[in-house]
Amino acid sequence: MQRYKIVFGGAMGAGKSQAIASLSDIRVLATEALNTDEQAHSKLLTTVGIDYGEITLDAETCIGLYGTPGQDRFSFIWPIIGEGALGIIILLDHSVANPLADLEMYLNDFSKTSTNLIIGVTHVDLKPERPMSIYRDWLMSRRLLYPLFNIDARVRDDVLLLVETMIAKLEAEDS
Amino acid sequence: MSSIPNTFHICIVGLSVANMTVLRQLCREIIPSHFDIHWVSVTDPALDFLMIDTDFVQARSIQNILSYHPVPVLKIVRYPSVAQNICDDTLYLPVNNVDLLKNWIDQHLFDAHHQKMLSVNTSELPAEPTAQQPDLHVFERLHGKTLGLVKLVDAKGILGIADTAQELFWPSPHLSVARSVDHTLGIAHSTNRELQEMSGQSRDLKQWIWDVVWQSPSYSDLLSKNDCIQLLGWPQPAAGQDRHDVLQLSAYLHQQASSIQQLAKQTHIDVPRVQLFASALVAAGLAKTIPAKENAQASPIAMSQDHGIPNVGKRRGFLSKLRHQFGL
Repeated sequence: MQRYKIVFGGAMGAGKSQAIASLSDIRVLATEALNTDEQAHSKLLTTVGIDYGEITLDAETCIGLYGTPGQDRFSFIWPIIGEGALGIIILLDHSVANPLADLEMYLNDFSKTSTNLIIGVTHVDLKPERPMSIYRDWLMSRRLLYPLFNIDARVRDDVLLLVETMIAKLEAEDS
Repeated sequence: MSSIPNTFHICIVGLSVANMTVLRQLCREIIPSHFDIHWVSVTDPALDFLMIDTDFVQARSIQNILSYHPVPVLKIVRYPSVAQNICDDTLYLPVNNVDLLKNWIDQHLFDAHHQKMLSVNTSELPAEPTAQQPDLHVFERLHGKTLGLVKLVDAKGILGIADTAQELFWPSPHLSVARSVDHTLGIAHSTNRELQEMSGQSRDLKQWIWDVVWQSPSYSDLLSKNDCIQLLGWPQPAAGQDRHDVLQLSAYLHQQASSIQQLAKQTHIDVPRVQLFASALVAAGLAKTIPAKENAQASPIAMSQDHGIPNVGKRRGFLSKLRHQFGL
């Protein structure tokens, strides 16, 4: 059996578990615990280990969907999970106090592991007065180019946009 | 040409509501009461007289309209800088001397009107409009962050209001999702009151520009097939076949800056469609044109890496299965 992986990274509450659940063929294996870090996010439960979902392409091919734990005290494990992945999807919660700090932190960590990084910005409706241009300007000012989309992690088609982008980039590499 | 001889069709472009109101009142005082005044848009075929903020007069869309529909143009400067109120067909606000404005209107508007009447009497045909091509000028202005709150209009009406500093766009509540634009697209100053009449949900301005140009085939000739472009940001495609093509084209451009012709060849997508894609990117500020010689040096991220799939053939097969799995 050939096994591949797609990794979902991002802060607590950005929608990693939802995104994996929307794609997985199996029930997502999660290690959720009561959230005691209400300053970081108000959600009740949070992932303290790794979320795991799976897509079975055929009898010989399977893709693991891995969600990294959101809290930055687990950052040591992010590159280990990202190693050898087809791509890493970074989800950013637009409504947090400083989403650019999150963007910087996740890009710094994951860009060491993969060049196929895709950024999905979630919860844009919760902070509509904050423009998407902040991310674009931040990336352009550093001469960085990554696909960046406004998505709803609960909507499967939005999550598929991120996956299709990852596929398109891999296809372009092969041309 | 005016269809009603005793009516003047006048347009004011690019001014605040307060200045517009003052000028309308002055026109009504100056133009004899037996003439009606219709306030029209700049694209109205009956336009007789244009008053326009001097910042907008060189806009290609305005120049296009004036090229096939020449009318008297009074440029307006919003700050006082000369002792005279009117100089070189330019009116300096505020209007201190109404007689100067009256003289200008007598000389330009009534003379033009008299010529028009002669033309009507001798059954002369109006000049045929020349073929009009859209241009990037309007979009370039929208990327200037200092412009502030502006209204986007075309011959079909108002599209919405943009805040260029924040790069946000509020579509008109009557705007169709699949709306296209053409060469009549123009911009005018707007106000917070007008903003309140727009739909509540703002959109990213660059993304909106990309969407609207991508749906406007008349923009496909903005760039030639030999133009090279460099990607600066990915557009967010809608679902459907468009999404496949947009992501494929963006991914190739992400790898390396490319000419439109090269891009069409690599992706097996028709040249006109790639031209439209590239035009939409450049209009939205998500790509820039570069000299062909910079083409090879301009790719920021073109690295391949090991994803655990042993060879290209096997990887293509795998990616094809993955697309099939999700119906992509």
